[in-house]
Amino acid sequence: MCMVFLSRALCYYYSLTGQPCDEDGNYLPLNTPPLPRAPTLNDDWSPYEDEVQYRTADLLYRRIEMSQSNIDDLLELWALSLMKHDNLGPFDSYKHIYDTIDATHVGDAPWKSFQACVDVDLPDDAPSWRQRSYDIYYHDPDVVVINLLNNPDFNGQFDMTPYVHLDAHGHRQWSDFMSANFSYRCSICLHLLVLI
Amino acid sequence: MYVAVILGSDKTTVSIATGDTEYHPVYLSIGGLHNAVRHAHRNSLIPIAFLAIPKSRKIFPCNYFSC
Repeated sequence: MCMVFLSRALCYYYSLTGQPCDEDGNYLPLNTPPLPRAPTLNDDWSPYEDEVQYRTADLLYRRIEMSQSNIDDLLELWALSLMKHDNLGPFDSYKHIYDTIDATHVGDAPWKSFQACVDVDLPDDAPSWRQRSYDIYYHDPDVVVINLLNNPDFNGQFDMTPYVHLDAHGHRQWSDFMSANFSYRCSICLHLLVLI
Repeated sequence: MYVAVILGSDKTTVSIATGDTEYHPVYLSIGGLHNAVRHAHRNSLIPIAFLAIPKSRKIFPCNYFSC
């Protein structure tokens, strides 16, 4: 089998080196710096109006997990105290907070749902759990995988390709997912399928 | 690049005080990440679905899928 031996005694399958390429699949020269990431605007709080709205929602919903009636009471007090200055609080009601949180899209995948239907050919004596339908909530796995691959925190802690790691005595070293036989064999199978 | 998708699920009891709510979350991670990162709770293991939990009235059904 053709193997590429590099330093650190890491061996790669000859055509699976994880070398970066452009959109058309042409290999880039070694040490080409990555394209700059799209800049994120730090003052863009949408769908929140401003930082105060975002931090209020974060505090009440995520950190304190405050009840709906308590949120409404707090927002009422907030509005009363600001009324002297002809102003209102950051939100009208708990519903306003929840709707804003549901509309949040930055850095996340939206939740979707579908309903598992009852089987049309169900026998009459089917148990009760088979006779009702169920709601199933999910993230689009494609979007989640793209977000994971797009996360700059993982830079340098990511294997682009499977490898075989041998120590100085030639013994196999097992560490991360891509050092395993499973990923090695899967990669080569997929690669050969693409060639066919 | 070959991206291995790792899926897992485990029953999680969310709240005992308000009615013993249980969920079966499905988690997703990708194979390229080093194990140290995946263990460090740095957004590398993402819940992607909540499965429905059918309830059976029989405590010990003779066959879960037929009775």
